[in-house]
Amino acid sequence: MRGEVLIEPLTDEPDAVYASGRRVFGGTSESPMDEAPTLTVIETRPFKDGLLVRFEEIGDRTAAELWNGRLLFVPEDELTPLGEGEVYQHELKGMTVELSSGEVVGTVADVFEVPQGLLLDVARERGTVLVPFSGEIVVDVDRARRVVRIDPPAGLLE
Amino acid sequence: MGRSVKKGPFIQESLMKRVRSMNDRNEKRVMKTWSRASTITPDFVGHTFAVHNGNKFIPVYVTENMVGHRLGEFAPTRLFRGHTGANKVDKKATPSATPAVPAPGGKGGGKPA
Repeated sequence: MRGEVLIEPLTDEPDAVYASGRRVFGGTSESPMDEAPTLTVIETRPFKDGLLVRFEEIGDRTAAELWNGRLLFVPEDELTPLGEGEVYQHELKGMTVELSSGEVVGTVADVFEVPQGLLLDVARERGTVLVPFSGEIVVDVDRARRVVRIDPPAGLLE
Repeated sequence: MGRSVKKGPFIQESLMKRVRSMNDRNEKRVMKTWSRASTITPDFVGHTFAVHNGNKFIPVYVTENMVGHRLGEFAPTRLFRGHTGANKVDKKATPSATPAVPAPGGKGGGKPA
């Protein structure tokens, strides 16, 4: 009734992103951020698996309904900096996967979420291969070169 | 209803044999298996299994906190590709050695804990 919107957070830091006074942008990941409509957070409270957020620009239920199914974004430079060895999930897509020896395996075509972590779907010349994104197999991730170096056990790439 | 304690955990005999022979030879090689119902024992830790999910083989690197669970719990039959259109989710990924285990009570593909 008061125009609160239920948000399913897709971020690791929902408390920081939806903190009072923060601005978020509505739109798609392709649309330029400066053209996207801005929303300012007034207050946030947890609700079921998500958050109920009241925005300055959304005053009633009718205005809230217009935002149904939309995605909200924050500028990348406003996010907390990544720690050592960390990478954003969306950055993994398109990265080159190579062995410790430097031999190229393929390119990350998709990233799947499984109970034990992430799985990289690596596209090769012939088909794809799944590689667990775990510390025992992934040696390091070079964000600058967009390369994931792996040390797979025998038989993983067959 | 839980499995009788008297029977012990179910582990496919041929799979157990392969694990034991690899442990004897101190070898690490991906083992293909269709036995999703096999319980993970401490012998499995450190090995990678390619567990069939009905469509393809899902690589599962076994860690200590997976012991007691079944292999099938780590090879969901439906792979979640992420949210449609949200290809810039700011979730961080780190190749750490601390994988989660499926939520208890979940049969086949629990949510990450």
